[in-house]
Amino acid sequence: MRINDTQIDDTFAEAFPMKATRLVITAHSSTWARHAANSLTGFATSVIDCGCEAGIERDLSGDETPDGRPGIAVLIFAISSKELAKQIARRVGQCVLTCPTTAVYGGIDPANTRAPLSDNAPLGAGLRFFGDGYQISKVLDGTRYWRVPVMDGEFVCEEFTATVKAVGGGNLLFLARDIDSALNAAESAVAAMHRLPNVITPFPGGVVRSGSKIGSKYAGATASTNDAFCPTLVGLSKKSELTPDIACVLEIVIDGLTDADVGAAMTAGIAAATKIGRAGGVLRISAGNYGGKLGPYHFKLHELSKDIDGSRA
Amino acid sequence: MNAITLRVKNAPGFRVDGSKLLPATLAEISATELPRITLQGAGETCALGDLFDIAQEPSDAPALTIEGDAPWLDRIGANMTEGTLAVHGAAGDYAGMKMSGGELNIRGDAGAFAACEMQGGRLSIHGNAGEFAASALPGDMEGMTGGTLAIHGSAGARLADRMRRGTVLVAGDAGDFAASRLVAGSVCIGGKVGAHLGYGMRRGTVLLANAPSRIPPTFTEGGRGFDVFWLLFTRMLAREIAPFSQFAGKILPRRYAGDLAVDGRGELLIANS
Repeated sequence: MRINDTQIDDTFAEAFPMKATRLVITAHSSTWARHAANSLTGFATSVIDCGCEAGIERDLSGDETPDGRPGIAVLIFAISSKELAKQIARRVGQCVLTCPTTAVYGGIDPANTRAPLSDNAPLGAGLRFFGDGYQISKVLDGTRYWRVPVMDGEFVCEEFTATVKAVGGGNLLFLARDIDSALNAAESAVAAMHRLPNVITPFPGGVVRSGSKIGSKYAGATASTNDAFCPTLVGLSKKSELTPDIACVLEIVIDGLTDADVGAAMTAGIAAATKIGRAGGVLRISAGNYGGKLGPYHFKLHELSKDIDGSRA
Repeated sequence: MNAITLRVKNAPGFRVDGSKLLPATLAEISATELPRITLQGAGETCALGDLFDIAQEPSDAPALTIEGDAPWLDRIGANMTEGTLAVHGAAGDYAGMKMSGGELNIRGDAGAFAACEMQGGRLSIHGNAGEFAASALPGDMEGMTGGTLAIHGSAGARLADRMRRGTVLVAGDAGDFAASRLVAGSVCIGGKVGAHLGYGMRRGTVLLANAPSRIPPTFTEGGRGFDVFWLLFTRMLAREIAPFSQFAGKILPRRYAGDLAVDGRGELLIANS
């Protein structure tokens, strides 16, 4: 398949079940909400060594937040409920509790979520102990909040955040003529994806250049460079999938609350990159998988691309 | 399923236990059976048909309406779990006792112990409530533990005694010992309060629309910095009865902490101060 002369490989992205939650962070101003969110989602690019994958979903206006202040929604994904709870406690404790004027609430609505509900993860249920006995709880409209005395007043947080069974590891590979073309495609795709709800792109700027494969020639390394897509290894690696005209490959990894959300984000990314097309240096779009044997979610690029506008010549 | 209307035709001359009159229970009973339901009175029983004219009509949801004053009818809505129960007139004692769901609407006065040990749902009293509203039954350790009690008029003494959770709203005045021995929960009073406000209160929130004649001596200035809680609280109150629906989230009330004679983690908030 070709769209605007960019080749769409007949392949699929392979994704995995994860556990996820949304946190709503509010603050006296959107600036301080963003400070907390940036801190909370820092060093959260990959579950391989960060414990979770996290990112900012979108800014929230005052009429979208529980306390009427400006806020921000973040999504956190982990490989198990236990690890997710651990990461939430650590990150909220170190990055939100500490941040001036912030409050934090669970952002999954159990009554309306399309993703299957999982456990409740503690928020205030654990953080309240910072109050050293001065903390007080309040149940308002059936939701329990904790009020922990801190030096700027009170840190208010909901007792629990609902978690859901989510999808992690959706991906797109942009194979381009040069670095500028690859960055342009990736940045456009990330921007298009961020306009959609329920998804994050956890890597720096939403883009990763060190795509990996499972295993290594070195004992003890569980993952190593994806030599099939490294332009310096064309003709050297037997697995290389590149042609000499490809000088740069960038990847976007997508985590979403449902497979439909991940699929929609991938479609938006493909549409943004093919809009640039071959004329803009985007030569091919591909995806990473493990032969389809490891992950239950297969996102086939041709199916995702069938309704995208553009020349099919 | 039927919606049922009971119109008072004879006051029995003695107190009657109305706890059998639950919307979900009566909704499944046939028109021929309804008048034969026996209610326990003081030392004797009486048939529903002797006390009320009964009307039924099909309905999707369980609903019961009692029309006329029935101050002799105690325990209306006691242990209610679902449906709507409306009383167009006065109700007796223990209205909404231990109810855990549904809506009980009394468009008149209620007697003593309204909403006592209530666990959930909503009880609205458009007139006045007697003593011990939202409180514990004598000898019990916990009063109201959930739901909302909204009193449009005034409440008697010992309002919310030993209350642990939930929301109590009194648009009018409250008698002596309001929120005494409060364990937690929210008690909001729009009018004047009697003596010994918050006596022995451990935790929880007492919100007064106006400053009382004196702050209890075992309460201390409780500081500032509770802006976010006040925003959350006023957003919830915005859906409730006046004057509480009109409190602005941006204007902090004066706060006192107490009762220092006990735990001292309760708060007394005075909105218009």
